[in-house]
Amino acid sequence: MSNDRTSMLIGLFFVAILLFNFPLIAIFGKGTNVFGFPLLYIYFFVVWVFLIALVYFWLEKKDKNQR
Amino acid sequence: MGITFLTIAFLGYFLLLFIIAFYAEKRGRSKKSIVNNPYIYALSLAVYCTAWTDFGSIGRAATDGYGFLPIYLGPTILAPLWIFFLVKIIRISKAQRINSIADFISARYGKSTLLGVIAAFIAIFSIIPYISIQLKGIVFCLDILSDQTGKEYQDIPFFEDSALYISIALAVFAILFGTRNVDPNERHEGLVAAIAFESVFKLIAFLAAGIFIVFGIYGGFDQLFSQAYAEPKIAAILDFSQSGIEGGSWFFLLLLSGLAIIFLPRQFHVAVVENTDAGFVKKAAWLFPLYLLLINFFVLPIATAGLLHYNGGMVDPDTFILQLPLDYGHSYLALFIALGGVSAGASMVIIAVTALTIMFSNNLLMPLLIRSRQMRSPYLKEFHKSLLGIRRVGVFMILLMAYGYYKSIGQQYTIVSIGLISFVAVAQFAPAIIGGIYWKRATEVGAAAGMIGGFTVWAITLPVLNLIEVGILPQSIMTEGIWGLSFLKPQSLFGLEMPDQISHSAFWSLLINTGLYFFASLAGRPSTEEITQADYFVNFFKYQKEGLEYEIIQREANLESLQSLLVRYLGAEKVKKEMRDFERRYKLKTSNMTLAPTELVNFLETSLAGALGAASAKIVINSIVKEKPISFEEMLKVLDQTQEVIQYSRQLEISRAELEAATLKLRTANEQLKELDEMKAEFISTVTHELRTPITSIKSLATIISSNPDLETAEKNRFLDIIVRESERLARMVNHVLDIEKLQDQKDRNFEKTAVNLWERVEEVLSSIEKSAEAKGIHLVFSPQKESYPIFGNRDYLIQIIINLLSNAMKFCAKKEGKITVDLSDTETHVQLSVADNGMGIEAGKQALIFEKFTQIQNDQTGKPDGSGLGLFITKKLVEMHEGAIWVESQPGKGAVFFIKFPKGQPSMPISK
Repeated sequence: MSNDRTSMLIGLFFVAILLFNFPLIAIFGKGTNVFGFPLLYIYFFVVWVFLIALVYFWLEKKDKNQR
Repeated sequence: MGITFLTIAFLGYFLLLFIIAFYAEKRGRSKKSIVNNPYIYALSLAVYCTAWTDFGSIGRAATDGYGFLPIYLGPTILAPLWIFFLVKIIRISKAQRINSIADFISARYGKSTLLGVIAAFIAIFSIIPYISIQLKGIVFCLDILSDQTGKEYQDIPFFEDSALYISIALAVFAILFGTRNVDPNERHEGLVAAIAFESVFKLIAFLAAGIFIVFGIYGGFDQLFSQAYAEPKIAAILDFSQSGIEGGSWFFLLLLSGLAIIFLPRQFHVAVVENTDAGFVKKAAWLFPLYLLLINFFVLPIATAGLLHYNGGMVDPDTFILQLPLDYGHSYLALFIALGGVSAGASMVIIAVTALTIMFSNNLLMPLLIRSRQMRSPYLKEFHKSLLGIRRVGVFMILLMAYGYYKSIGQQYTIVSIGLISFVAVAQFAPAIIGGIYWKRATEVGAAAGMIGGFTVWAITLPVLNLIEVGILPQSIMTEGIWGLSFLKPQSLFGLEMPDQISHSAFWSLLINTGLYFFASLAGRPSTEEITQADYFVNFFKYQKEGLEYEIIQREANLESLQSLLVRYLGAEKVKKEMRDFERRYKLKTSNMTLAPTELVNFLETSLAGALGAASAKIVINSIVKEKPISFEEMLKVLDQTQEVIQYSRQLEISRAELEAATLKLRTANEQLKELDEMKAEFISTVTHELRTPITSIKSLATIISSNPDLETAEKNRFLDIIVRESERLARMVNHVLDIEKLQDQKDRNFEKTAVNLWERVEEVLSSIEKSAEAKGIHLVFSPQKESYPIFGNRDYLIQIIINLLSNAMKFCAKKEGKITVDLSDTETHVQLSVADNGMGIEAGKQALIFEKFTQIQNDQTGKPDGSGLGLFITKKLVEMHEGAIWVESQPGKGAVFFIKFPKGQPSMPISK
């Protein structure tokens, strides 16, 4: 296991805690409407996709490149 | 929809599950597994999404907007760390054949029976309500579709209750596919395949519902949400600041769900016990969050749509997902969605029951059984068959309990609240497990104290509260506290009030759990067994990488009784297979063993642990095993620093090898010495014996002469002659012995060699003995073809060789007309010296013997030996020191010829004078 990967994944864990918690989510919690969706709804799912993509990248892509 | 049609549809669905499971089992048996891949693994983790997701989430979203979401965000947040701690848990579990979460905790803390009991008890106690709520979810689907909502469940007789039949069907499924093997680590392919199928099914059903409701009814997200914003009540739940969600509660929900994804017994079962390859975690770490994302995407829109449609109506928000399609006349779609909900509920029930049953049989029942006297009876030979029977009965018992709970009080709770109560309970495993794999100093007592403390707090703050609400416990507890103790109020423990009961309970239980775990661990000292296991769990990867044996305690057992003991629990076939595996892994033959060594005892204990659990396996094995304990301090010292241990043992290994080599050398040297010593002793005894003979004759003749003064002169002279001759012989013998000593000495050092012309040496010797030969009437002949025969040797020794041969020849040549012929010849490589006499010759049988010590040829006239018996022996030794050879050719009566052959010296060498 490369050190970069370990640091990235642990970092991702802390970033996820930050992004999915107060107070950040409260900023997006106002009832604004974006593309027909509530802003917070968009926020959650975009961050969610972003986190999944990064985990995918660091576990699957990066790993293959290094082999 | 008619009840008959619904029943058929439900039955059809269950039949499909059975077929899938059977097919997967069949494929698994023919080694063409369809479930052995990371995608199925990720899907099996989705057993996390129960009927709660399908119905409860929407209900929750309808009351407080985003409040359903942390349950699915928690696992997503923790997923990046799975490849560290989950992989570690999986690999430890595979190595130790751990088969449940209770077994894991028990194994980590010295294979503790006590911890197994506590953990199993917590799991069963907290999960049974959770199972019952799933039964409720399944029945709920049936009722909505058949439009029978609102009836009083308690009043239905049990034989008319669909929940009972559903429970039975699920029990049969769990028995058929969840209790196939004695060792749950042998994967249940059918079970996993069915769960994966249900995960796909419930996702598709949920997405279908979402697409229909959002696009089919409202024409897209835009219209849906713009209508929702027009209604202030609905707009409020979409607005985070107005929905009443609070930071603390949010955080605790994230934490609890992040822990639950691994520590719920059913999650541990699919994620760890049914896992076949720890590498699957890499894919699951992003695939599973993706699954969660997809299944949650439509939750809020569906809730919004429901609220809009039934604006203020009497429809339970939990049912929106079914009512909306029904109200728009799409009853088949509703059925499809309902079956998705059934999938979610059924898969949870099946796995949870399977996992709980393993804990029930291995951690609660087994310790009692193996301690009981009957188990030791020789009649109980096939316990492995009973073991599966016990598990099957266990499945029924647990489902019966869940059904009982459902019938009695389960009706009054929403799916979400019961689920969260269970989450808090299983979170009590977290300190013991996470601490267990990273903190070596943690002890059994610490883990027990933590879990009991946390569980007690949980019980006070959640179930007790519920029992009060249901009216089973008196209302007064709420205001006065348990037993009238004001700090034990279920809603404000130690006076702390929190916005919601779940965070309140989670906060206090985890705080007390962790605190007790930490301080009780530090207060005590771990036992030997605990230290061994602790080090293995914490430093697992090191053990794996270095291929170390982790058991420090040395144990052995009679192989036969060990095997027969195992056959009782595992069956003969399985034991045979395990023995083969052992032989392959350790490259050892067990067929010639009578005592099973430590490695085998440990290996078989692990095999047994797969079936009985670590704690019970330990008890069973220890009942027949002899332990060779090492001192506690010693081990503590060694184990406190694994790194040093490994290095130390490597050094030991090296120095042991060196020591062995040295020992071998010493042993050979010692043997040589012994041999030499024996030779010497033998030599001395022969020498002294030989010396005695002349001494005896000298002594007796001298005695005769001295005691008979009037002895005739002639007679006296003859005696004196003999005395002189014997004295000479004695002197010669002593000289020879001294020679041999010197020889031995010389051989050890490298004696000096120079180039020597053998011809010159022969000439020298011949001229020195010419006179005495003449006196005896012996004719010497020496006429070689040339005068140069160079060899490489020691001058003095060569002379001695020649003298020895010549004096020998003189002794044995004919008494009258004696003749000795000396000759030299050479070849490319060798120089040969021959000395021929014309004496009586040597019998063929004695020709080889004469070169040995103390072999003598009898003198014809005196009947006595003439020589010391050492002359030729010394000659031979000297010749061999020159890398030459000596032999004799002779025919009795025709004299003897002695030959000596030396390797030729280098011509370039200067020839000595």
